[in-house]
Amino acid sequence: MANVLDIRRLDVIVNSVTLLKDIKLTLKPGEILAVIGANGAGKTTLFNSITGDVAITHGNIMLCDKQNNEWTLEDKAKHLAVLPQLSLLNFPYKVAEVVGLGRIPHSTGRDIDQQTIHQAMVMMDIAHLAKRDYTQLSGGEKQRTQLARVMAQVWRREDAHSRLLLLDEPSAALDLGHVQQLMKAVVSFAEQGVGVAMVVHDVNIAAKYAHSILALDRGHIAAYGSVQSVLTKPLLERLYGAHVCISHHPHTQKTIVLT
Amino acid sequence: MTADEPLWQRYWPWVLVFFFIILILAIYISLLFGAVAMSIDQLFFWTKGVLPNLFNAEKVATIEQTVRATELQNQVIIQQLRLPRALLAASIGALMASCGAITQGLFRNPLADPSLIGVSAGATAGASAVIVLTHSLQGSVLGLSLVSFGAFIGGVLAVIVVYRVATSIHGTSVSSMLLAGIAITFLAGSISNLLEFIADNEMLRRISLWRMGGLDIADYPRVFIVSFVLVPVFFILPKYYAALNALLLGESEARHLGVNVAHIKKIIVCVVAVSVGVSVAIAGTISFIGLVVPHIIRMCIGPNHRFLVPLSALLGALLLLVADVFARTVIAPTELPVGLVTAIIGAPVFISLLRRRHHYAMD
Repeated sequence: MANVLDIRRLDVIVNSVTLLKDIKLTLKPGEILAVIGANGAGKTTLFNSITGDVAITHGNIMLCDKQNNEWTLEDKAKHLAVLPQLSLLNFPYKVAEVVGLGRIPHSTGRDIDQQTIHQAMVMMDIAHLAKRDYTQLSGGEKQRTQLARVMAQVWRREDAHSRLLLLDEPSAALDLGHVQQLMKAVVSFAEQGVGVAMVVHDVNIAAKYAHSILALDRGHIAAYGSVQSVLTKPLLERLYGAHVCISHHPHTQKTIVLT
Repeated sequence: MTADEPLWQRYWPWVLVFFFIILILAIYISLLFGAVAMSIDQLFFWTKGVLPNLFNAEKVATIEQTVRATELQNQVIIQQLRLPRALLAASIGALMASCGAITQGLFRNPLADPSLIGVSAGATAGASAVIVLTHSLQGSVLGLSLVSFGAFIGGVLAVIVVYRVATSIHGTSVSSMLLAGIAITFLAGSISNLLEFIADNEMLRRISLWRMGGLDIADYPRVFIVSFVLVPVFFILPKYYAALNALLLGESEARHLGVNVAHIKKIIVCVVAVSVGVSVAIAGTISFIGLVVPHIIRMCIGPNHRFLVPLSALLGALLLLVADVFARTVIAPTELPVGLVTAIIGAPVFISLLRRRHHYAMD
């Protein structure tokens, strides 16, 4: 199956400041890509150039086999869902209604919408909150509601053959248990053929769940490839300017990073 | 999976019909109240005789010939004064409240009000300008007095300036619109003050009366002008309910849901400018309906615009109707300006809403 995302030689220059330089990456259906890097490395700019919120200066972004600028807003929303870094929703929607906003791009009828909303809420463990006011939830519950919303947007294979989910720090504000639950949900969601790209600050989340990692350093690619090839002591120390120790999980043998 | 849906949503069109019938009944009952006492029999007589032939002047004239002089007077009061006034109150209330709901949605600010984008202040300046500068002129444009026409022009002009100031190549910023709205409100306010400064006593009284708002000028042409705005607005708005719902999440979130945010802003600002412009031009600044009514509805049923906007319109219509009945009966035969009544009722309601705010959230 073709790539859901194919970025070649991408430059983004805003007000003569180079925010991204010579970025290339590909994302297959079902693949989870983690984007790491220090604050201001260009992670959010990369996402914004995929969503079209930032104009690209050079290069080429192919989204689901179509040039990024050839999409109409409505069609694009059926293929691409975005979880923003922080959501300021201060109107007292019910949780189920917030999740239901994810169905706006689709006209699949009420029954399918309700079914999808319910499934997405079950997956994010918020079905019991369905009738609560969104404004009264805790930070973590809000985050899970928002994630359920973007999942509901690209939930059904029938709605769009190839689907891409961008998550900007999905695990911020979540406790340990819900980080695991959220990432499991993301993994099983990806297994249904959705490409997932996520910005993470916790490199251990990237190590445990991602198939590939893109490390950005001041707008340039510092490293891009498999988890083992990217998460090395010299690279992480250069990236974050912090001392780290690379080890392996006693059970899964996956890379873990200790600081 | 419809278990999550409240009962009233399942029967939504019927809920709407139910409240619409209540409104019609309220309009009908309001015909009984006023400076002149009216018996139910006289209202029934009017209902059977005159109402079905409302637009058939000859028929009405022949009916009127059959009744005694005192009764004839009552028939004329209902026909020519109370019915147009009730209809005008209801349609202006509907316009104000629904514009309040969509303005709050557009600004993602539950405390927003149509007057926030300068329309009321601009209208006041326009009206004052006409009163002061053309005091000797009498005339009308499209059935509106010159003062109303000036108010409409002033209101729309203020919105155009606000929208232009807030629009750059990067699009229209709603927070800039808010700030520009405040600036224009101050500017228009000082223009009005300047005009008052050079006005004589008679002009001052007209300006201050206009400011308080009133529906005593109600007649059928004015009812037609307002419905001429109201009807298209309710054909246009339903297309944008889903987009407004998405917009509450934030502008980029709405864009990622496929909503053309720039287009929505333009449509909403136009609708608000024209609707509130016409309302203010005809009935003066009627405060609080646009702010409070959407809140009451939101507290009951949540912020979904599909339900919020129509119900706000109905409740706004009902409230302004009741406020107007109150205004013309409480110290009859003298009338209070209706804008005064809505503010007197509205301010305490709004304060009690603010005190409940921790429960209803939004911060």
